Amino acid sequence: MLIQEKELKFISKLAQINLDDQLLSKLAHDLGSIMTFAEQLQSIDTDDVLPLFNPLDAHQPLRADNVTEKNQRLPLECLAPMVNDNLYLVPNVIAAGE
Amino acid sequence: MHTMTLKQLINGLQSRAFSSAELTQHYLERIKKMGDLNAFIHVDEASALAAAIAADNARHKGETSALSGIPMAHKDLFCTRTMPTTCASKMLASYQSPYDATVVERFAAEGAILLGKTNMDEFAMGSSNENSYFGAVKNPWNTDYVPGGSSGGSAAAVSASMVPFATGSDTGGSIRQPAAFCGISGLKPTYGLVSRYGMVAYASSMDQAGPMAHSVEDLAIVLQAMVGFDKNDSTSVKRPFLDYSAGLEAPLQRLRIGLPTCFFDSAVDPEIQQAIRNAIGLFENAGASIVPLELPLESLWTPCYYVTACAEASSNLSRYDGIRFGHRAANATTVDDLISRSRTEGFGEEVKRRVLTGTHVLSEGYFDAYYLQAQKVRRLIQNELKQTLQQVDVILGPTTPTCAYKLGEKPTDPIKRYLADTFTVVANLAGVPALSIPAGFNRDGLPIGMQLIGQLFSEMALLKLGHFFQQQTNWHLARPLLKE
Repeated sequence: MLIQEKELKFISKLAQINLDDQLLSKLAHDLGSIMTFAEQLQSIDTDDVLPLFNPLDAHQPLRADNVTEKNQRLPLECLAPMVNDNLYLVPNVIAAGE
Repeated sequence: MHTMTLKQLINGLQSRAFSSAELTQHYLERIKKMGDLNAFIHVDEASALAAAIAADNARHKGETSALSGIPMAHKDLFCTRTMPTTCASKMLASYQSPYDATVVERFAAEGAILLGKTNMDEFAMGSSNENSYFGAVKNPWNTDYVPGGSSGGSAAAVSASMVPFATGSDTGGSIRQPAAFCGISGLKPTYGLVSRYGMVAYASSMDQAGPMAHSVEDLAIVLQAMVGFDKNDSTSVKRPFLDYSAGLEAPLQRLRIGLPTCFFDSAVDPEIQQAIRNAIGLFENAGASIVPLELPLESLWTPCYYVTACAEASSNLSRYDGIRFGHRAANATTVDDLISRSRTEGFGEEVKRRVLTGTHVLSEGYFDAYYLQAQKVRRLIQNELKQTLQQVDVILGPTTPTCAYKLGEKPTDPIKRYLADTFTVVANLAGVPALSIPAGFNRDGLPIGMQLIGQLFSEMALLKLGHFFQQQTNWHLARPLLKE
């Protein structure tokens, strides 16, 4: 399957990873090879087959709806690049002038 | 001391033949001498020696646990409060976890002495340990060659006797393949047997922590410390207690060993095929019956694995946004710019390749045809393997189609690289346990690994069979000649 560079640009936007021209070209080629390889999965009939998302076919266990976690704001805040007044600091959501 | 088995080291400490402080100092010096192998990302000498002295003091008071005073290393994707957890990535180069992984807690509770965190392929994505932000690891058997990956640092550290055992993780073969390349033993337990809490996620439905050591006897001791239900891991399973070490010596029942024909095709190095056939002969002489097998879905294992793993990775790695922790790009103009530049700067090329692949197969228009289809094929693969393992007790074959290759020599075509994982990925897709043990050397002196795959929760059977093989052979006793 050929992956056009335009399509990879869209994928990279979804993945929030920037690609320069060189990497765009290289990864478009690689992704095309990988998708062609993955197309083998179409060769088999899976009409009445349930997907296997967990190898033990397990489901999310539930617990009582009680608060069990303690507030860990301070140790977690220490990991952040920029915090102020209990808030993670980021640049503007909307660029200036928009 | 480093030539002793884990069991001998435990006995040596118990009999006071040496102290934990002496043992720890000895291994720390070996780590320093063999720094060129680049097996470690972080070593904490001071904490290790302090812990060793504490272990000796506790022993004098009669307070000991299964691994009291024994040095070890963790693969650098297990969260540790006292050392950075980098996953060999720029994204987490200075990340200090606020908590310990359950696996880390369990070894600490058993008294093991943590020397450091081992190098790996970035975020566990790779099979050569050349994808590390901290540089490639070298194979102790020949430093021009790769150790395998992604647990290459742990494999090299054990192989070079820098630690008696280490932890690894295995999503598509990342314990077994480097174990094979480095001439040591490694086990991927059944999915759910070992807690993944605090183990940085790559592909959550396949990731599994496991032990790496020289011998199966040592693996049994280490596995004992790792297993057990953990309420913090929603995929953790409750199983009856098993004494893996005691069970090793139980007599082997008459075995049916399955040999898939696809494990012996032309893609497999002839020297590896011969080593495995020699091993088969040994089992036959012991009374095992050999059953040739066909696994018709074998050609779908690797594409199914890579679609699944990449999809799960793209979801798991979306947390790395430069906002709450990890690498943050400077001078971003908007929050979108911050996130995308942080991720672009923080991730290596292979990580980007897999995240982009995963994003694509999960996107609208492709989800049903690729990701959903892969999960359906996964059920068919698991069904086929389960049915096969009702006809035989264990599936046997080479761990890898080739021995280790030279650093820098891996194919540029990602598919050729991915196909080298064919023999290992099936165990992760199906969730079953699989063991890799040394089975010989090629003419260049590089190790050959043999893989045993069993039914769900059949670790005891695999370990027993592997131990039997190691009682009949000496491959696991060989050690690389290193410049010390």
